[in-house]
Amino acid sequence: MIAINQLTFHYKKQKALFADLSFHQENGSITGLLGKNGAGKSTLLKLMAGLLKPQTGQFEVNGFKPFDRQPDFLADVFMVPEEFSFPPVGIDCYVKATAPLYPNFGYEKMDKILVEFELDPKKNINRLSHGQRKKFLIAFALATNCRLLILDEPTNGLDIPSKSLFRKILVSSVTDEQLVLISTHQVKDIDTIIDKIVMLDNGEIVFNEEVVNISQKWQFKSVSSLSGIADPIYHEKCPGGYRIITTAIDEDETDIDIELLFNAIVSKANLN
Amino acid sequence: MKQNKYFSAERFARLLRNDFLIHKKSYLFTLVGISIAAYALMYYAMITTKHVTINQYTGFIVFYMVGLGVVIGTAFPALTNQNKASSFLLLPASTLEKYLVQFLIRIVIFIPVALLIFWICAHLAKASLIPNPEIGFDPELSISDFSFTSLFNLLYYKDIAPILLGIFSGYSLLFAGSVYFKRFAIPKTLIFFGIIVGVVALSFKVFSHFFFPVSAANYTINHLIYKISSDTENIKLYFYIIFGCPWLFFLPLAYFKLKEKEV
Repeated sequence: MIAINQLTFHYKKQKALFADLSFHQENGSITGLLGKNGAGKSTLLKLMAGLLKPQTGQFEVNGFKPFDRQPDFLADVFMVPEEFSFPPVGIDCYVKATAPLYPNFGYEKMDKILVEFELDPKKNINRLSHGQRKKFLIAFALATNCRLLILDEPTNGLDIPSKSLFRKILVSSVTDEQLVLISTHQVKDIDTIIDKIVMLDNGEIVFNEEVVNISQKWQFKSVSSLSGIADPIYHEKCPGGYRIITTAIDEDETDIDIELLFNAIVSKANLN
Repeated sequence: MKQNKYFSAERFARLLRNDFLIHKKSYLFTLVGISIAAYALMYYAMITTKHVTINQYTGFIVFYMVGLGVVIGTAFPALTNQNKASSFLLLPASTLEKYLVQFLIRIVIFIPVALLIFWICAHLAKASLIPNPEIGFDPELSISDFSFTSLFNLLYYKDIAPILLGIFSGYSLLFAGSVYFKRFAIPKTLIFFGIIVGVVALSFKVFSHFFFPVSAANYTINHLIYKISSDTENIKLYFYIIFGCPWLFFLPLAYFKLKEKEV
């Protein structure tokens, strides 16, 4: 569970990245955190993991202040950063050394995910490709069974089959007691697995909506021409016509075009 | 069950095991490296000078102890890299446990092991010399046996506590530097140390001019030696303060810097 109230944060000698930021999220969902470059996504994730210290505001994750980095807090939060490095040891050695620090670590789950990702436990981690190392880190993160999983650009560096495998494994691994927070620019990689979308722009949360509600409120369509479309909320030219967002006027739910929704929010389209 | 947020023996043991399993090769290479270096240094000196007394051993061990500072100055290797630092800081253990693991490995375990290695290498180097009657070289006669007690017998002040504490303070400074400085921790720590020594020397000089304006002319530092008790001179107290106490500052500094570390 994440509870942020009036958070202020700025890097040294820089203007405030977050001023008066508030955000609440209960466990039991896979939430997509979206935003432009420099919007503060990675910084927010680091604050949640306890790697950065906020200047003011109330900030609790699973009932702990993240920057206190208390062992019980750290045992229940796992962060997969965008860039990472491993010690030059085998997968099995890393698991043997690090897994005992996570009280809920699932060894069978780890073995199963390694098999699914086709990773050999005997191999040295640093001799694996970037994508394979990322798959190992994701496998380890899921096996920790931490209540908060923070994934920063988890699909960067994964090949196409691995991306779909990642989605499959993630959905089958997480439970209702867990909260998975995924920050990504590759929205198509996660559009079928997230059940909440949070958008960050200029240090503010500008959109925070459940996927179910989005489907009920808006429709996402591709049309050859805008004629006959009564006041689309947002439209974008694409090969063969336009991609549009309209208010849902019938029962038909459309697939959410997250990219279009993101562009609509960033360009300050009136979604209300 | 909520575990102790500062220290849990079970968690500490798991963290220590984690460190040994991950870094076992580098620890092994370090020990092999210092063994070869110590042996080679002493063997070379013995074979070239053909005469080694406890005075020469003092030089060797000072040189060796300075070298050991490199191992201590490279404590918390994960903090030199942002990605590794994130992983290290997010390991489920308290800051105190993470600190103590490094302190235990780099100082409490490593220094005695390194001193034992020096003792073995000194005896091994002597044992591997071949007597040469043609030039009258007999290792048993011209090369002294090394022992730590004979080193201390050379000292003017027989009180070894400030010396040991001084060495510990030096290592504590390097240990704190490894947390404080992200990159090039050892050179930066030495520069910091140089600045401190410079400031201390300058203040001695300034005070000498204040209190002994005549005798402290021409850039000399003047001081009085007097007894502060029936068997203790003031200079001994200086030694205790200057060499014996800095670790009391540097070790907590390292802990709090680690606790407040951001990535």
